[in-house]
Amino acid sequence: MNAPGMPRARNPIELWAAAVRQAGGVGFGLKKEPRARQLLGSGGGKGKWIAADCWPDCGSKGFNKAYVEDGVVVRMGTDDTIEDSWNKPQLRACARGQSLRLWLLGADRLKYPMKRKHWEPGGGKKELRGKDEWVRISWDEALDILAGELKRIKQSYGNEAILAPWVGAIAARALGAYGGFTDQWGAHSTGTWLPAHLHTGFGYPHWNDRFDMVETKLFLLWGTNPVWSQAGLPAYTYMQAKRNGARFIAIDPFYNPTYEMLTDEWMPIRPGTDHALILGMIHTLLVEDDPAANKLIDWDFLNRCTVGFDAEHLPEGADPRDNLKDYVLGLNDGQPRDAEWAAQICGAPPERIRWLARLLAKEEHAAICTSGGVARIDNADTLPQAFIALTAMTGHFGKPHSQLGVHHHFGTNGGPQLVQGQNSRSYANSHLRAPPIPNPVCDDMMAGGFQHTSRKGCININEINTAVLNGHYTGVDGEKVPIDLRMIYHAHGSRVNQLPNTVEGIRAHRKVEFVVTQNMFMNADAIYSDLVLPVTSRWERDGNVCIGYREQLLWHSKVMEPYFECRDDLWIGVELAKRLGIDPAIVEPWSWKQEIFNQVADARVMNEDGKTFEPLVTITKDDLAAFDVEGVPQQGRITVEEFREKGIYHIPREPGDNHGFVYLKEFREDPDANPLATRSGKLEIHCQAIADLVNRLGWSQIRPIPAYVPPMEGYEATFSDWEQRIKGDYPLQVYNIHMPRRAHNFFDNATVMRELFPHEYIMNPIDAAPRGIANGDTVLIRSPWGKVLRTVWVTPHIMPGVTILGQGSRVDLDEETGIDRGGCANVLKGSKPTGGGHIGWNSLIVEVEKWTGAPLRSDVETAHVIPLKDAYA
Amino acid sequence: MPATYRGTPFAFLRDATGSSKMQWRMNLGAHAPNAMAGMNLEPHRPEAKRGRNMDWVVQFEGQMLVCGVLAKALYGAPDREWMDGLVAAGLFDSVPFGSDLPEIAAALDCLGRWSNSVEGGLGDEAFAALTDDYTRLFVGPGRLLAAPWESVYANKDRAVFQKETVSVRNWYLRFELGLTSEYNEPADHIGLEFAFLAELAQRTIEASDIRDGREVKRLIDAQRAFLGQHLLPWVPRWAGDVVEHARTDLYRGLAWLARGTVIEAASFFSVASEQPVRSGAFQRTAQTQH
Repeated sequence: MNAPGMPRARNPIELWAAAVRQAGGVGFGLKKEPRARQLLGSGGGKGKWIAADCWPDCGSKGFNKAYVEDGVVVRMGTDDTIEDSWNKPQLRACARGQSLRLWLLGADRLKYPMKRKHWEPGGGKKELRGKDEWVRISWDEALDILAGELKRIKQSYGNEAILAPWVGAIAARALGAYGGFTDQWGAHSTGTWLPAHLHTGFGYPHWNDRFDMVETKLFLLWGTNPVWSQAGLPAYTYMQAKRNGARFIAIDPFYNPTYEMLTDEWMPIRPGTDHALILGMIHTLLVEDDPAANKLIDWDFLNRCTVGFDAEHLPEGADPRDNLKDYVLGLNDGQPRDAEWAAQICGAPPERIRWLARLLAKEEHAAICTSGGVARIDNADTLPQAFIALTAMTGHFGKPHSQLGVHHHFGTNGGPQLVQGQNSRSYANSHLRAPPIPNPVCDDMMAGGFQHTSRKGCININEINTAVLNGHYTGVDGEKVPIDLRMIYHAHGSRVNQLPNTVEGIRAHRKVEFVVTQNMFMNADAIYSDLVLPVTSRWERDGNVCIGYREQLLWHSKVMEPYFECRDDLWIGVELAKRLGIDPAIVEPWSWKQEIFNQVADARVMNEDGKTFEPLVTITKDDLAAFDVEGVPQQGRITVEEFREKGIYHIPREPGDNHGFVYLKEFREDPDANPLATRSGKLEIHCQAIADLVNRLGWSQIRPIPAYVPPMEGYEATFSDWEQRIKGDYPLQVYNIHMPRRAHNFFDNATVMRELFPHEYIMNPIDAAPRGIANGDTVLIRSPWGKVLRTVWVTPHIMPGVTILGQGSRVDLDEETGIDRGGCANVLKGSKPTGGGHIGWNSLIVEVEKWTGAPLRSDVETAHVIPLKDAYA
Repeated sequence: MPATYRGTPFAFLRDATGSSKMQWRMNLGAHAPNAMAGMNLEPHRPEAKRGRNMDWVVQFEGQMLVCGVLAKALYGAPDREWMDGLVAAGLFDSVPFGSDLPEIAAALDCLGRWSNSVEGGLGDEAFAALTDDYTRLFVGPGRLLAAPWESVYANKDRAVFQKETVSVRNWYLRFELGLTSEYNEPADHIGLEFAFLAELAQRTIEASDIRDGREVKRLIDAQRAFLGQHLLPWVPRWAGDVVEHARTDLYRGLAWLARGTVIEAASFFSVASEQPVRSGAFQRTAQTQH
């Protein structure tokens, strides 16, 4: 059409003047700012430090501060509120925490609500998800689309058709109130330790107090790497023990930086073979033990405090053959699980296995420190019982300076919490004084909460995508439950990328009628969505209160204004509620500011007596007025203002104080007076509850004792003929560790982290050489489930036959070839569950070849912005 | 001519061919902006070197108009009606200032090609192609092919909301300007920076109309400084990314135009740049594209 008033063929000045006039003037996008003078003077060039949250779920906790000048986060800082000492260490930030500023202010954050171009109600070219163009839309349009699809799908198919896997309790408030949704169950992180903590008597938290731990003389660091995965205080406690003369042995396929820092010896074993190694050690001790001449076994503890070790100490009604001793000695099947047997599987020489067993048994003050990683193995359901048996028989439970410690989430520092507040990583209920919003589809569990075990309305995490694709999932009693999922709602985490079989996940996301993702970043969930909603980070909200480790309480404040058009999850919930006919006050009973102040008021700290708690902060009427909140004045230890300004409170500690803790001490002294929460009241090496749980689900069958079951895709599966030891199509093992670049999927897109920490496939020269692979080559990694390209780091730090692909990198699938260029470990992993429905990430088999196509570009080049090109300068 | 700029903001544009226009051109009283910066512009001293002043003013006004068009074209998604008008008017047949830069030639080439392709009117498909292109390059979601914010190019951290952003915001505030946006977005968007430059140019013209020499000097200094501190360090690189990644000749052409305009203006204001404004490599790209 012809624009009126813009005649042709005039001189250029006139034409361009007309174009500017049609645009509304020369200053498009700018307007007169009457408050310019005040705004200009407001910053004054003086900045201030603000306590800034770090919530990505690495399992550790550092304290971060942001220095803000004129509204710009200029740099990062950490805990300098106390003098640093061994007894009272500062809660320092790690490299990831220090990168928060550039991560959260990255140009790649989601800025505006967007919809997929070809989306229409009911789907609209669903196969284009992940490939389609995007269209920027208003919040109103976005929320109308979301509410419209929720209504349509609920009316047509019922609430069950809405899949919202672990969306978090804040995002789930409106969904719960709207009649609920299908959720997920199962442990991502803890592998098979979770049922063990619930049923064997080896509970959580179970670490000894750090002042006890630093006197330990021998540490078996077993499949753990807190320097990378849970940076901060966890390794610091070990450093003190090392300073005190402790000996450290590493048991792991990978000689990692934690071991480089601490250990005296490295005993490489294959992934998924820890169980076999433990049985070989137990066998060694059984045959070498002589109570008079060579005491290796703590029979007193085993007999008094455990069930299942031998036939004389079994729970009522147990099959007498179901005892660990007879199984290990091979009395029933003629196969002793001796060091030679174990060596065939785990790869450590028999003599080293016996050496390790003796070393552990003879040391009075020894600790086995391991992780969730060893239990993220297919069929590893009774591995925790094997660890428990080994620790029990060597006498290391309930004794000072001795322990079995799993997961470094609490900084190698156990005992009752000395501070009470939310765990910032837990995404717990958002309005703590209000009753949680139930999810009617899932037996009224808290909407959006984390569900450990099988439950009505919840799909196991392995089966989320197959439930969408195949229309059924495994129910509480192992039955096939039909389900017709029509919509996926993502509001937390990264399901496509971080659950097994990412390619299958993409197919599932292309099947349903509607997918929505609310996130800070364009993660894989968002890529395969129809609607993307940008949410604020915790830096852009009115703060949060949470615990640090055992001894720190943190109060983070708002650091900056919302990034572009980002809105809070809670705001989205309220706006949805309005459109769905739900009272918004149910979703947001009170403001976030009020909620945070409530949490500050409710924060408790333990008194010196080691028993009672008192409020942390004193609150006066003036404080309530100043913060513009409701509340009741109270007396506490420090002022509200001091807590807010410092952002962190440390419980005073010193050796010998009343906060010491040795796990199971009372139980060891008198197990009858202090029974554990198990069926027998004892530590259960024979645990019928776990066997029942696994066998009822029906994915695999297990015995109640820790009998070894080869993992579905473990070392044994690398052979086509195990007896003759003939290798199969996938002769190498691969497992996926936590890399320093990221915490799961978080941080990975930050350019600075990509520059600092590579994401390489790691293999031994012995495996690389015959394949013609050299350090730095691009290699193609093939598993039975998918194909991934990565640059290789060839190093003797990894044992032969084993390779590593760190988890968390975002998938970048070439749909023509089916090859992932992003290095996503879950492209290689199948989604078939075993045992109790954990995820067996670390049991995987592959073949690797040198890539003959174009070499992979560096991850820095594919980071959040296009690299600067000098040619364009 | 209006004495108060805010009351009738575009009066001089409406009066582009009028006699009063000619009047202020003759009254401007300086050889070139660089020299003007140090001169005392007394209103009662109309100088004699009219020819050169005329050239300068035409050049200055032309650049201002191009900045105004770039602001509208780059800040915000494509405006169909406005763009249709540009095509109908044949806007991209030429630029309103003299330049022998290969960038300007490349810009006219791309923009002309695009104009020809939509000569019969901007159809649904062609308009969708523009919207898609704009979204991919500048909106997202996710990784942007040519992030339109200065700090992403000029700051070593390559993030948004950096010190460059505050500096730009403060430039706007010093001239009593703020963003029309209702949410928190960085002030250093390419379109906004061009809008600011165009505003300052317009105010210069108006100040000279009322013979306010002090204000003219202040405005000229501001434009020189803003170009040197802000536009010049990043727009050339940014334009390179757009040219590489754009799918449509319109955005490729606008990128060339942005680059050419900034370089031309820098030369016009004699902006001292610590680095060479261009490398030979990119200039050759421009020439071959042209």
